Amino acid sequence: MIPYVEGVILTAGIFALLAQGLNLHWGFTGLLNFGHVAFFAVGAYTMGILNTQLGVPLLPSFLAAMVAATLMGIIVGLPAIRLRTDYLAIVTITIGEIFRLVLKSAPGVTELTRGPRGIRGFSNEFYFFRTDIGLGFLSPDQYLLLIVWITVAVVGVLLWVLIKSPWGRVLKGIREDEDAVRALGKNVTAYKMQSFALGAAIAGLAGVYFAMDIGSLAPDTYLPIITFQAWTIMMLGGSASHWGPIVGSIIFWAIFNGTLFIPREIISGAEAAYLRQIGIGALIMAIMIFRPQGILGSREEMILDK
Amino acid sequence: MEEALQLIANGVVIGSVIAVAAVGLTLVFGVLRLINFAHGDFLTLGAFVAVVGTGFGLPLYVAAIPALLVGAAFAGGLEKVLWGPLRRRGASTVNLLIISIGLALVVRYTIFWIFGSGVYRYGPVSQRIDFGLFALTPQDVVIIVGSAAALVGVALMLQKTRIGKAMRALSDNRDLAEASGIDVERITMITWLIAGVLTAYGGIMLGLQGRVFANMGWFLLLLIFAGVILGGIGSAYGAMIGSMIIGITQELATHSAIGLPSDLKTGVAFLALIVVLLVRPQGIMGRKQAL
Repeated sequence: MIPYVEGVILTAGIFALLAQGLNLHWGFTGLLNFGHVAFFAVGAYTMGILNTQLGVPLLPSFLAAMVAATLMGIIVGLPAIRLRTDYLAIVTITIGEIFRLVLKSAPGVTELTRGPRGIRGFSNEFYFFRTDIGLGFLSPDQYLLLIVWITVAVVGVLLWVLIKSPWGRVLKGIREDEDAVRALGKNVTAYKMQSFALGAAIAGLAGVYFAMDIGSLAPDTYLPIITFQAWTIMMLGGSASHWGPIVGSIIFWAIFNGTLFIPREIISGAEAAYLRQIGIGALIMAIMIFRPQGILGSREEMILDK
Repeated sequence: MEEALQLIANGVVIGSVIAVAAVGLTLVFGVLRLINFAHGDFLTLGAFVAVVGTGFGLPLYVAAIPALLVGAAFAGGLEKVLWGPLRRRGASTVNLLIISIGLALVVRYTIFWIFGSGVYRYGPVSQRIDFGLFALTPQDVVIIVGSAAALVGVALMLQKTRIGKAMRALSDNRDLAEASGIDVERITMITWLIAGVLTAYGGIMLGLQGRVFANMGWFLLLLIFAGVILGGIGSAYGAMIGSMIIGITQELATHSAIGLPSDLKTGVAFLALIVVLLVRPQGIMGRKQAL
């Protein structure tokens, strides 16, 4: 029972962080980003490559991961962000897939990423570090869990302050009516880019923690299903709600990991995996049909006819 | 040169499959303004119904019949219970798009659940026939001819029949079509039925090209989007041309003079999609006001 609870809380924290970035994009700015997994992967790979291949210490490589994810956000955003919402969805999901293919098999890149074989051996330093700061009594999972949730809290407060600020009000204005905001003389594209870059940076950091959790990096971990999971979490909790990603993530992973308790005699491991995906799909549909504002969201915040 | 010709021939084969799928997708978009992320998994569904038929020893052209019927029934049924009610409630494009992603997962993993992650075939793939400049398997030839026939059929339907004209009118301007006495709900349903048949047909073509597996349609989906957008979203003729370009481009990308690993060839097609959206978002045949 304890490992189950710890596992749920740890994974929930990582995905809450990922969904917080997505919430900034979609919930507060109205950007239909379906390539979120690319930012997750950029963060993880930047940290992994810097740490194992170039010997950069852990903390600088964490920061570099966030910088790289920010840059990726800008690179993706520059061409994509002017597109209409549904086109933006197609472009972002496509860029996510291109990025995965490049990590996996692009000549030159695979020398750094080691292609499908992936990267290992970056997490030891991170876990050893806990004894240096007097947290040696925690298990590796507990230690990561603590750090992840501190980050979720810090990011949550940061987003809360930002969204309350004039900057955040402009973002919400863009979400509601882009043309009206433009007519007020605001540079809509610049605001969208800032939102996109910041959300990407948050996803990048989530990617670093995710890599620490599983201890290795492989391109095919970063499939579009990760993006869909983040979307489900955000919508379940309620988009444009600050507690939404957190509540959504805990509920999502409690249910998701709950399938572990189904005895193997009833359904096999592979079948359980398929049922989980069916469950995600059904959950996405059910939320959008019956309660598009999610558990915590308010109906006024949801744009239903854009 | 010989290598290039062979690659182009391969590209025409996969382009034909993409084209059939893309026309179904674009018809639905034109009439309903729905970007259907579950379209790829509708292809898979059609391919698997045919697998069940060939499993009973039926020849493929017989097994295809229930597959096409299931395709139509599935698409029409969803319009009845899902899309229609949502549209009448005023659900937004984005809302419908996200629902289609959920639907895609449900359909794909239900197929996984029933059929597992294994690979099925309609039968042994025959030896390639040498046509002089290039060589194709008999299956490839069936795909090209079968797709061309389906596409000509769709084009004739759109140009010559009353229903086709009503579909084009609806695609141009829904309100105007309704005001001029077109039964919008009925045409919408017919569009779904046609798209359902076409999609199942495309799935069988895709399976005929090699293997039938639960992820096959999902893996093709972004290429279908690429074909549709390249040609101009909502334009059936554009989708045909765009799909051919995508098919040939991705095969040529593996030419030894370029030397790209074949894993990356879909990446090249995806890149083409992004470039088109940046340079000419309305596509080759599309009109600007459709955006």
